[in-house]
Amino acid sequence: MIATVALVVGLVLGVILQPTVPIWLQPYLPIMVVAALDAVFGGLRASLDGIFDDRVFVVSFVSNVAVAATIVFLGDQLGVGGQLSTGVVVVLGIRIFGNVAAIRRHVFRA
Amino acid sequence: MASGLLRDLLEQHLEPGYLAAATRRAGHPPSTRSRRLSLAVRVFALVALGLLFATAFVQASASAPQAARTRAALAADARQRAALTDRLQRQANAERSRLSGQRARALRDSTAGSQASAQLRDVEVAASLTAVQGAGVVVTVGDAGLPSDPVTGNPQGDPAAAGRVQDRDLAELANALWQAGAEAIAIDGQRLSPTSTIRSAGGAILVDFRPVSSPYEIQAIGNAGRMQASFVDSPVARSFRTFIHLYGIRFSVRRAGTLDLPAASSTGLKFAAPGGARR
Repeated sequence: MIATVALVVGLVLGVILQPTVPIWLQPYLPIMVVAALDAVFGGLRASLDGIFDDRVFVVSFVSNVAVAATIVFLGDQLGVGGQLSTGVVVVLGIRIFGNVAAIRRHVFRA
Repeated sequence: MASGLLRDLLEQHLEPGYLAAATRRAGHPPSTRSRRLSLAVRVFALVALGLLFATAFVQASASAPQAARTRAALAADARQRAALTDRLQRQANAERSRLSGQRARALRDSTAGSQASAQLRDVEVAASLTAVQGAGVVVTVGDAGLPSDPVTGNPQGDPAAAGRVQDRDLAELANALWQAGAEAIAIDGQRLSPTSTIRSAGGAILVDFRPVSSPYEIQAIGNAGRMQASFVDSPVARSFRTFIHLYGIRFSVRRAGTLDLPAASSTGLKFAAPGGARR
């Protein structure tokens, strides 16, 4: 309940404030969003499993976002940014898919 | 090792940290203070999350229309300029025909004058300075169509790799038509003058700096029967017939009863002056 309210508050704040993203960070925004989605679905599944832990959630969220952006940044510097971001999206995509499937099993018992 | 990594990726979707924290917590009920702290941390993290999503959304929705707007503005600009050029060209043609009418009136009274007038008219036709009309042949060439995607129906594949008509092809066809006895040629309604250029810029073909697009229609006025026979038999037409099977381009030749070709958008000579008869 509180989590949902906090999320909505964050969304509204973002839409109202429209923070300007520094130009060097803009290419990494989409990959950061994908990493954040992974953390969100992981946390949702953990809370349905009854083993949710705030510390793990926050650490996984921050580190996921930072690591994803860093990997793609490093790839850009090495000239393989496109391939590395594909790799990150594949790994995170598989995890998101698996977690959503687990959430679905919880919710629909199927 | 590698299989372990892959198995982890495919089977272990949940952060292992959650399970570790749960076993660590088992048997130790958290204090009220630490519970409050963790709730605050969770709220803060979720606000940050929402902020990230909203920012990404705003960013994406702001940048996409920006590109589209720029593109639309440029396209509108190009269309406007093309319309302006068309209007000026029409105006120039009208002035030119008025000029030649007045000139003919001024010259018709004397024998020498009417002779000069007729000569001038022939030269003007040869220099593509006047609109002409007559029977002739129409050659149509077009790019090969791209194979369509079986799912979406959209064209797929690299458009640059498909059978595309190049500027050189149009120039060769025009030259073959001249050789076959054409007296006036227009490509997609752009009359060719002795100084016309056929070039490509980017993916487009420009005839006298005006873009033309596939299928290209080359109209040529001349002795229709003889011109068609001579053109169809020319090496250029023969190689284009093989291109039909080789690259899938379109190529057809037909006779036309009446063709109306406009005057060329000639800029006139800038540096060369007529020699010989100096006054």
